[in-house]
Amino acid sequence: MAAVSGLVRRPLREVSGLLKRRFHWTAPAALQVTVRDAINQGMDEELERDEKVFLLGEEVAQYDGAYKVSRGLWKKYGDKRIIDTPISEMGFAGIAVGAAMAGLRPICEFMTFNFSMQAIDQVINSAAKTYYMSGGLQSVPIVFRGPNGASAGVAAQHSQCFAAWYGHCPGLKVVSPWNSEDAKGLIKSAIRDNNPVVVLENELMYGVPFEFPPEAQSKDFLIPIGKAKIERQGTHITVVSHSRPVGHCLEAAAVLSKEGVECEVINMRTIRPMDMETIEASVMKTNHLVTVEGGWPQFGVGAEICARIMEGPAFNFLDAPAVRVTGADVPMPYAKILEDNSIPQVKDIIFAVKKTLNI
Amino acid sequence: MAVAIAAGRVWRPNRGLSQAAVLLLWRPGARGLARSHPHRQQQQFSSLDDKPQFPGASAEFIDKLEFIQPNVISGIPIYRVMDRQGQIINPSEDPHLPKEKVLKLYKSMTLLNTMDRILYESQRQGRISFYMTNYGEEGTHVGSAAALDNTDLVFGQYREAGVLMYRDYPLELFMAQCYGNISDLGKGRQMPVHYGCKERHFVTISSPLATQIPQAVGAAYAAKRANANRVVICYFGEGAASEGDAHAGFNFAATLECPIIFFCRNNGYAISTPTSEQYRGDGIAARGPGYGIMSIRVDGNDVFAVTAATGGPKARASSLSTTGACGIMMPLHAVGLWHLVSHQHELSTAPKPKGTTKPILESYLNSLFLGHSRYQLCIHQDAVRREKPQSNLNRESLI
Repeated sequence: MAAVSGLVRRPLREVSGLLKRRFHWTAPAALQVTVRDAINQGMDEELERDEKVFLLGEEVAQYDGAYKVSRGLWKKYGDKRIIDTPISEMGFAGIAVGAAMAGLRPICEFMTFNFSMQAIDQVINSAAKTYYMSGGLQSVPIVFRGPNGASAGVAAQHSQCFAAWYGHCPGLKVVSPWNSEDAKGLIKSAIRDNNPVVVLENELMYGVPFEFPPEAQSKDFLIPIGKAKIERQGTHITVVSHSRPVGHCLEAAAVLSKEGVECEVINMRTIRPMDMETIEASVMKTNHLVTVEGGWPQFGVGAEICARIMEGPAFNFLDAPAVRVTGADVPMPYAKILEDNSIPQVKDIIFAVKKTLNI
Repeated sequence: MAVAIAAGRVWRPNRGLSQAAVLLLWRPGARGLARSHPHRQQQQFSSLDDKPQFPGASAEFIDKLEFIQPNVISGIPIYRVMDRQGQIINPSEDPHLPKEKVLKLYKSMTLLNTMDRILYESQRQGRISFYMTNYGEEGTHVGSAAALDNTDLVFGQYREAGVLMYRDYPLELFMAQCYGNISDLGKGRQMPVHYGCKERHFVTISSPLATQIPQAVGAAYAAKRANANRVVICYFGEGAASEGDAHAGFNFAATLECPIIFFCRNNGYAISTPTSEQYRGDGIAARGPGYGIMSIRVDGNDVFAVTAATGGPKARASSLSTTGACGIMMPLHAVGLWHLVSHQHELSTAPKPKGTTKPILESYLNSLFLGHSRYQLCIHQDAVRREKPQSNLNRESLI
């Protein structure tokens, strides 16, 4: 009997040992990646995947990028793929558009989107409109990227948000990533897209690390252009935002949650084509809407969202007028106290939510 | 209407023809007539002569196919008055500036350098968000400012604080602008080094590069229209000269005949981009004649040369009432001097680029070239030196 039980017990012990070994598996520490590194990874993977892709702009090569976003790329890919240009945005944007028309896939970096105004004719009249004007014969698979919107202490000519300007134009796709996952997925989708895509990054987000989910670490991780993401589920009010203010919305939601108000925070991710379905579905659920953006109020992203809500089915579900939280309607001042009060802060978002909910 | 095709862009399939590579339809008319103005004068011939009579070009025929090569081996020579030891080379070129002026030049440069050190340290300590130093370029600022009248309008890029310093802008206001505090006349709206002063005719600095160039031309045109007897000086770097605005500005200055001096500060780099990647050909100076602008290249470290060269076109411009003279000055800093990349753009947390030997460059700069322009001055004016030893002045400026 003892022998039999011994026979039985030993395999059982071994089996249970195996089982035990399997269940001792521990989860790996979550990978933290900054937005800068995410964009760098995205570009690196696309440069590797398709030799027609190349990057040009001021300081992108030897300097590793004015904000170090293209760090290491010149060393890896060399002069033919990573090109330092003279100081002429109109010039190198035009060159990039021409290259795209001829079959290459350029990534054209503006040191900030404020300087893209020097090249706006090339972006709009040449890149955006050509596919339509040629009746579909000539595509322009180009990506314009760079930091957009307010930074810190860089005053009026370095702080404008161009989401509304570029979002206005048919022919362009416009994306605005918030976190690392957004940044990587959207830059990759932009590069693979055959349309001109404007990628509005944010300088203050470059150094911020976020948790990088395992699927984002894949070389084929793409985020579809035109699809928003619900960052936080809620029931009382919908808060829609893009780029850096998404983080402020989540902070505001955390504060409000303690007071019993559950905000649904939507990260737009794409400005054009705007994902109205997600926003409408959310408003139909919560009956209240607040939009948050860093740009100026007049003719802004929030204005467009409100107009479209009115035109769609969600209007009938609103219990209160929608409220926009935007940057102050002034050129960005330099002095810190003035600057802080010119961009939407967490307290402004909380105030807008409470005003909408009448609490 | 004549079509002139620039050399280099014409492909002639049939090399057998001996004609020049210009295709034209010649229409005699008003455009071909000579005007009294020297710039627009064309040779007068009867139509029977076998001479070129193209509107828009005044030249001889040639029957040999020759391209003009861009000359980068021996380009436009560099004007200087002093040698590297501070000795006047050609006594007839000695400007014989009065002692007060020489002292003022020296004081301004020293004060600017000291202020730069303090404000640069402030930026590194986080007290101000941004700063641009003027190391090595003090001579260009004060030298050119010294040649101008106080009412001449100045359009700068962002590295011309010495001009304002020479015009006695108070130190308190420099600091207030950088700190954006309550004393700032700009009310804290602008980033540091974006100075402006209406009383001293210094147009407020604007960040985007080269936008000041067409604006300066417009201002000069306005001055001409108003018979104001003033000139405009427009400063920019060699990198900004790549912008489209620069081309438009130069072209308009020439065609509208504006009393403007274009002053290009070439320090060899735009952040990390060297001139070899910024442009080709014989630099910015060589572009001037292409636009129809009289040009000169000057050693920017030589204050006397800068003063003399700025004074030349200035005198011309203000003496001619109907037709302005435009001069492009291209101070070329002595080879080896360049702006520390790290000093230029102090944005965000971007780490310093690898490979720039910053501390070495800084001390080299400080010992050689900075001291260079001042030292040159110092050596030349022995009497001045005996009166006010350099260290005293330094101490004074620190106070």
